[in-house]
Amino acid sequence: MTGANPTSGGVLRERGLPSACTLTRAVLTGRLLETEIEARRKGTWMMLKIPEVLGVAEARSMLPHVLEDVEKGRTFIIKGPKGREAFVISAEVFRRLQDAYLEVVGELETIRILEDEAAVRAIRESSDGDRRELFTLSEVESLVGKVDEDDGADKS
Amino acid sequence: MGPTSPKRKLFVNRVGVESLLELPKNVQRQALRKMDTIEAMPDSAGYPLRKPLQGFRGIHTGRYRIIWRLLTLEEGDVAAEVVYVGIRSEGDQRDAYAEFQKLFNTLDL
Repeated sequence: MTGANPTSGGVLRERGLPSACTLTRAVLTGRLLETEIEARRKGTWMMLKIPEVLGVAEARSMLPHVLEDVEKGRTFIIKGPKGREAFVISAEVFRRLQDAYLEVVGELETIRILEDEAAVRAIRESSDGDRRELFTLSEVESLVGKVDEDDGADKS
Repeated sequence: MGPTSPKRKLFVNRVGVESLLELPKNVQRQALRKMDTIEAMPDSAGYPLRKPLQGFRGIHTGRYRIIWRLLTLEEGDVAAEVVYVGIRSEGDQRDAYAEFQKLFNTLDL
């Protein structure tokens, strides 16, 4: 498979490394697989099936049947005029997709944060007892306000 | 929220305050507004970070990110401890959301 970003993919390939897209896809596949295993274990697994396409009138006339099928894991696309489309998906499947999405974003952001020296330093220092002094949100708000006032005083 | 539900709280540690105060004023205010969201849902807002940052969560506000972790207070209340507010790296067209979107475009879904 080739990387979606030809530049970074090219550099990585030159070094004999998988492209960022390959890594991302691997992470996504891994996460979805974990989700599938967990859902199968709990007996809540529902496969996302190829959507059935319906017209608006057709969807209206068979709405109870559509909702019943959605509950069983089916998905529908309702095509309206002027390219308007609605994607009907089970809320449970959507939640699982959203969870999988957040897991992947978290995985990628972890990689980004580990490349960000300032963030890593802050996280490390946060474990230091001397630096654990905590401020409430209103205290922080007043500090931000105070800096504003000081800036104003400096300017005048 | 029921009467027995734990109260949600948010604290910013010294390192977090220092990192916040280094940012432009408008971003500081933007970050404070985002902290309201974190305070309301400290264990579900944003995204969970993975090893070796497991236990931390992150959220974006424009080109900036906020990182926090959950604290369980003595009385059983759950609180967020913000440890960092900072700019995301340059070239953020490469950010996770964009990359994920790109991935979706390349997948035959």
